Amino acid sequence: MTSGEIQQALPSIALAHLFYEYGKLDAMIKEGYNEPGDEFYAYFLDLLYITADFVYEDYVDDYDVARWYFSNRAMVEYYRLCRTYGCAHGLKLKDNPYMREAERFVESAMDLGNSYGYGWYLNTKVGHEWASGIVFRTDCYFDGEMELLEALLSIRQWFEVGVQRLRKKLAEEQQQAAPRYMEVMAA
Amino acid sequence: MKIDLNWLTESLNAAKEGKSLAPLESCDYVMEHIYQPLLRGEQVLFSELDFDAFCTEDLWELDRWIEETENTRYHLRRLNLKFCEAVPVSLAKRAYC
Repeated sequence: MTSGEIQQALPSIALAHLFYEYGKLDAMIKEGYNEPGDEFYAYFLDLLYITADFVYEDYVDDYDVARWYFSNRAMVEYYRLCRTYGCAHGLKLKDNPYMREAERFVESAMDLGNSYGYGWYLNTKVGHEWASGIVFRTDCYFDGEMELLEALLSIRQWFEVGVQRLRKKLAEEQQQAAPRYMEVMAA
Repeated sequence: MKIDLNWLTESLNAAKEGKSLAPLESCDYVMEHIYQPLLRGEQVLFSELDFDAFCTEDLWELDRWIEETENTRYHLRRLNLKFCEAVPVSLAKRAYC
């Protein structure tokens, strides 16, 4: 390789580093990317599919616009548990602290720095298997590929941790509520 | 093309001393396990890299270093080419150096 070719390959090494940081290097290698390469965009498009459990892409040729949908099992379960928590505490979705916490995180993660040419929307519905997710739209000016991959990896990680925390919280509340229920029944 | 060697010597003496082409020292790991093997045409596998030994910023520093090195090489090549293309001309009168 010449020095110039090495320069072209550096972004792919940066991607490998990013996936390593989020514990997804093995998945990247399994996808067939075990070596530095100069086709960054090919890496980017293939690696997007590792950032979420469910990925859907729709490209509108006429407008050069791509629409993506990224969903995770942990994310859907998190929003289901949010509703369970909300019911138990008589909270509306907009007042639910767990909903707000997740929204704040996703908002900060999806702020892709100085990148432009994109828009996104967080779907928090739970009606079907992949109902919660991020709708992401890019146009031909989009230049935040690396930032998007990092954002999606961090969101996935956040919900994986978040759902465990919420499960634990609900289990604790259920445990505390059980003796009270027995007391009421006995009375 | 005419190269005035007296002028060239004076200009080089008067030129401000700049940075020499120093090796990249900030991250030995990147140089030893990524840059040099790739330059030699050897295979570098992600599965064999120690990602804890360097950070992404080290890669961008390597990028800047390559840019700077290549830029210097380019200018040296151009200078060399100019000297190679120069046709020596004898002085009209005898001179002793």
